[in-house]
Amino acid sequence: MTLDGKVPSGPIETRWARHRDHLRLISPANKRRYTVIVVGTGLGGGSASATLAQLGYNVLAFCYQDSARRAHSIAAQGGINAAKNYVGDGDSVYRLFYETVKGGDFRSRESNVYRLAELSGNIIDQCVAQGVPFQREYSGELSTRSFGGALVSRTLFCRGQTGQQLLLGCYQAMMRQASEGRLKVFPKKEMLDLVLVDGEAKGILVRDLTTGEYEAYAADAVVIATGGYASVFNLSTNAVGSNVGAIMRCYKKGALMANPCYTQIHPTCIPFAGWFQSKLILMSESLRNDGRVWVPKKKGDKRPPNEIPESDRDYYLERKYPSYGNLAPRDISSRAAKEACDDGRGVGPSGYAVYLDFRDAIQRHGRKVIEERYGNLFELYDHISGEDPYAQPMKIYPASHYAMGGLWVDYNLMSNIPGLFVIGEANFSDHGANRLGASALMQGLADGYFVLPYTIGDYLATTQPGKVKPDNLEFQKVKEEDEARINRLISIKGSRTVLDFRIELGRLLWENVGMARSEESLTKALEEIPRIREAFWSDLKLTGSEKDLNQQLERAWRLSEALDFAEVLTLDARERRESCGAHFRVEHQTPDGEALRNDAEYTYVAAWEYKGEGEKPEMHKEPLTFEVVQPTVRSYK
Amino acid sequence: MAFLSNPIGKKMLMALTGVILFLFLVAHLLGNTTVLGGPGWINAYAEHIHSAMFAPLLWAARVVLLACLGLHIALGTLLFLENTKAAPTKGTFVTYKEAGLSSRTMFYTGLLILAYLIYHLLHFTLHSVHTSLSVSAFPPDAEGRPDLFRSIALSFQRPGIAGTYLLAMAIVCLHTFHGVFSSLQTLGLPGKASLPVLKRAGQVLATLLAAGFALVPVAVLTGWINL
Amino acid sequence: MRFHLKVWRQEGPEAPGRFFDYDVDDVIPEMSLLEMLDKLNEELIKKGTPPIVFESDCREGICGTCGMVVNGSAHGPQPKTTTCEIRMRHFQDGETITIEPFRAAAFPVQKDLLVERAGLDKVIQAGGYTSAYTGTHADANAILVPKDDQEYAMDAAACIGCGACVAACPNSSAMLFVAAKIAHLGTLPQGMPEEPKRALSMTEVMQEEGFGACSNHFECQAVCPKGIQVETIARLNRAFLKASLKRRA
Ligand SMILES: Cc1cc2nc3c(=O)[nH]c(=O)nc-3n(C[C@H](O)[C@H](O)[C@H](O)COP(=O)(O)OP(=O)(O)OC[C@H]3O[C@@H](n4cnc5c(N)ncnc54)[C@H](O)[C@@H]3O)c2cc1C
Ligand code: HEM
Ligand code: SF4
Ligand code: FES
Repeated sequence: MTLDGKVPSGPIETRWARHRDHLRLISPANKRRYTVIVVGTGLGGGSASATLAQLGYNVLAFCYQDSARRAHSIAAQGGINAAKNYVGDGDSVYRLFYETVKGGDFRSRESNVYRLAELSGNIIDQCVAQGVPFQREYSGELSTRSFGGALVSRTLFCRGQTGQQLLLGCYQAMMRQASEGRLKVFPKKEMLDLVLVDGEAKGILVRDLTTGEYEAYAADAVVIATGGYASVFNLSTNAVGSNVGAIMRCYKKGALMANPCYTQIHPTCIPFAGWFQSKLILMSESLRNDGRVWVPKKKGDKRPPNEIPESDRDYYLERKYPSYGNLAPRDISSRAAKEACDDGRGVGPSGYAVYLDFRDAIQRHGRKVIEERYGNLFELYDHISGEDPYAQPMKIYPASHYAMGGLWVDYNLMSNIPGLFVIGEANFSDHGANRLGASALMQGLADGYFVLPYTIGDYLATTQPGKVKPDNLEFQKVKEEDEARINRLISIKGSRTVLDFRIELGRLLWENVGMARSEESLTKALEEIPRIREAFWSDLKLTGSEKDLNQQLERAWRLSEALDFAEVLTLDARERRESCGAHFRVEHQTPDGEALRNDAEYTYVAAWEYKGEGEKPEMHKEPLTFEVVQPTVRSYK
Repeated sequence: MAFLSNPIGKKMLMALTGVILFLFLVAHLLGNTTVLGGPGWINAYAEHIHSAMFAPLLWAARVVLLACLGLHIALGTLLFLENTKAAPTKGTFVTYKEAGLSSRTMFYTGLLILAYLIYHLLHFTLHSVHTSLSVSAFPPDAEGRPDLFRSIALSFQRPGIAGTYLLAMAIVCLHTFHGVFSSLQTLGLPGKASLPVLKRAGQVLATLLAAGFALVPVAVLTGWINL
Repeated sequence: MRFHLKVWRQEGPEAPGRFFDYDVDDVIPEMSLLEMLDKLNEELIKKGTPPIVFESDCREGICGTCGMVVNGSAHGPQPKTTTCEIRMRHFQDGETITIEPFRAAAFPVQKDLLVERAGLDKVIQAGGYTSAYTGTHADANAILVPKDDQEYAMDAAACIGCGACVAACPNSSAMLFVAAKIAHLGTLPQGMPEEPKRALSMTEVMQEEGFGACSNHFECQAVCPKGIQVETIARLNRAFLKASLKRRA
């Protein structure tokens, strides 16, 4: 299989415009004859369904929550990037593009990233028109702040609730289309499978989470926007329901899984406290604008933080990366925290935490300003930890957060299966081996508002609308398969709970496929995963029936897919024998512990093809070419 | 009609009629204070408002008040039924945080006020209860006016009647304790800063009003006012 | 720590429900209430008893999925917290904790603690948006927004649509939810033009969906995890009045 990314050529500044101008269009009168399924109602799926419906398509939107507004995009705190150069600090589309390519450690497609940077400004205009209350200055103009990996201030935000406000913008646009009848939202319906007819994506099978019934939905194209897979680590900043199920089912139907080993560990989360925890809570990266990260200089220094004098503190990010300091990118900050803790200088009961200190910022700006900037984050921290961050530093530690990898898509955001589009965090497209802060929101909205609505028309124009109906035999076949799989889960009647297995898998991955990976640890994980999977399929205990509201069953189904996914992830991590971005192979590091890339051999996208249960998937390579930015050693010193 | 089918519309009319009724009570109270001035004052006041000159005004006021009362009762009952339907049960262990006795008993205190109102009208306006104490049972006062003062004083000298009126005033107080501020809120008056102030003011006003009404029976009972 | 729980359990929307008693031992003070229920559920499953059904997703107080009545208060006794944010260290060791679903005619119980809240989506469909198309718009800085207005809009926009206000309201009214959306959009220049329509139709649909009217009890404000103020309701009432007068004219 050769992978054609359909990347346009020519000057990068005009690639998207030229490409867009040559896409096929469907006449307004014909659009209503087409139906598009959108799975997921986060920033990706929400913006896409609202826009497609507005254009005149019939849209069916699905999510597993009880309302479209609850997709996990809602939890994004810090902000969204836009190359607006509002504060005149030298920002430009080019600079955003450059920083994103560099931040991704030269493992992303230049054309995609350029398009993203180009669209970033429109997104903000769009959101403001929808009534998103971005933070403003006394002049009435928009405020900005800085995020990790950037030397300019280009991040727009709504206090610490940016994702919420952007998602409400999408959700409200969806509700408007729903009231006009072109969009139908199906909450509490979980996509169990993709249905292919003659090799093209023509529908999905869902399970109604309230009744347990299977339902078939047919369409002319299917858009997957089901978010990331950071939850395979069990403890992550994702929602407890976030899962890899939908994209795994597409993978098993032939869609390629690209770069699954690129998983981001976020440096600033409330530290791990025990296996009873159901998730780890993020403290927005924006806090690093004003907070200073440090650990005691001496090992095992148990003094309360406020009693440790300046001379005994190691502001290690400022020391190691003087030009970016506390705003070093995530992968780098996370590793530095791990290093300090592994060195015995971590704080908190477990010794796996570092301080994020606002003392100096409060002294400089006053409590009121800090409250205005981060009030709700401080409140959240106080709620969870019972400590007042105004009075003593926060304790933070890295946690699994984001998936750069995902289903492979071309420049049109279509996977290798015709008619199957993938947007938002679910695809692999724009962030390379590491995502910079505040650019996932940008990507989700760019995909859904401004890219997919054009590119999907190009595919639809080649198809005859309404060709496939839900009574097509393929739906029946898929339903039988999935029903059998679910019944199998129910009928195991073993002794261990879903959560038990979820923790076992998550722990294995965190310890062996987490922030530091080695040939040895990855090989170990590859041996262990099948063992856990086997135990899962022979010793799982569920209660209740499948034809009912059964939350344990939902979780079991999701975990069954995560178990299969974990293997691809680990395999990809083992085969990539270099360090790049968030993928850190201990064998490949510079003398001072930085990631050591191997451009000669690994400048490619690894896209994995499913070969059947128990078979080793096959890797296809999409070579990456850099015409505009020359890959260099990524330095933040 | 669209206005009235809307939940806010209904509430606004409720508030408007409530305010009018409350304003009537304020006027009524001002009239009542004349009792404290002795027989000369109140009897003169009563004769005045019943005089030919004021009759049309009095009737107009009565019609308006009756209409308000009718609307207020009808809408209040409708809202009560709708709200009860919307909230069949609130669970077993509900703890209220801001809603007080006053706000939660509006319908019941309203009904009690209605009952009291009927009794009150039968007593002082239609003279069909306590006939031995009604003005018609007494000779005119020194200036030939109906001797309302005597009727009031003798009525309230009976602890049963005075007690009923005092109880009724407590109920009016309870109703308006929430009602006065509630109507301002419904009519959209409060702003961010003024809301707590208005709330407190409404409660004070309601208490003062009821206390004012209670003054007369109390004054009679304590012998401060006597014949 | 150990706790005695009284948990409402109900098979389905039509089935009668009742309280069940459970004891949970070895609770860690750092645990969240939901993590304690997770733990209890693990024990129940191992015994072969169906676990307690309750919903949650983000578990950090922003998605609005979770929501139960804990010790008689929607989202528990602590102010400005969601159910998922409650930590066990706020309870007394050995305490009895009662847990019930949100109750309102508009929120039928599906199972145990899980209720259906689709009515809130319907209310937003009735106008809780600006009708801006996806497309090209004026630059985001072209229309200035006074900072105070933006802050006020943001305060209101913080609503997470959890429905606690409905659950706490003796009338099961959704006024605070509606008022928050109207205050958010109506304060911004982009949302102002549609305010009259919004004020009229959202409140109408609120009633159609089975929510009660507002009696100004203010229980909603007391439980709202995001601190939405009842002052927004006064603002909504004004907007409604203006819109009604305009419609007349
Ligand atoms: C705590 C946190 C903070 C973040 N902060 C920032 C930030 O400040 N800036 C930034 O740029 N990015 C941030 N991110 C990243 C960003 O929020 C996400 O990458 C992005 O929102 C993902 O959007 P999405 O639309 O792809 O997926 P999601 O918002 O996760 O939506 C997934 C949707 O898919 C549905 N779904 C999933 N599986 C199924 C199925 N099987 N059947 C049916 N429906 C299904 C879900 O119901 C949901 O509607 C943050 C992420 C987290 C977790
Ligand atoms: C002189 C007598 C009365 C006065 C001064 C009065 C005053 C008020 C006022 C000011 C309100 C507040 C309106 C609002 O919340 O916006 C109110 C509410 C109410 N009144 Fe009265 N009222 C009187 C008699 C009655 C009677 C006889 C009833 C009989 C049913 C009644 C039933 C109610 C009810 C049910 C409400 C609450 C409506 C709601 O908020 O849902 N009232 N009243
Ligand atoms: S107003 Fe408050 S209580 Fe009501 S839905 Fe919004 S956040 Fe929840
Ligand atoms: S689970 Fe998201 S708010 Fe509680």
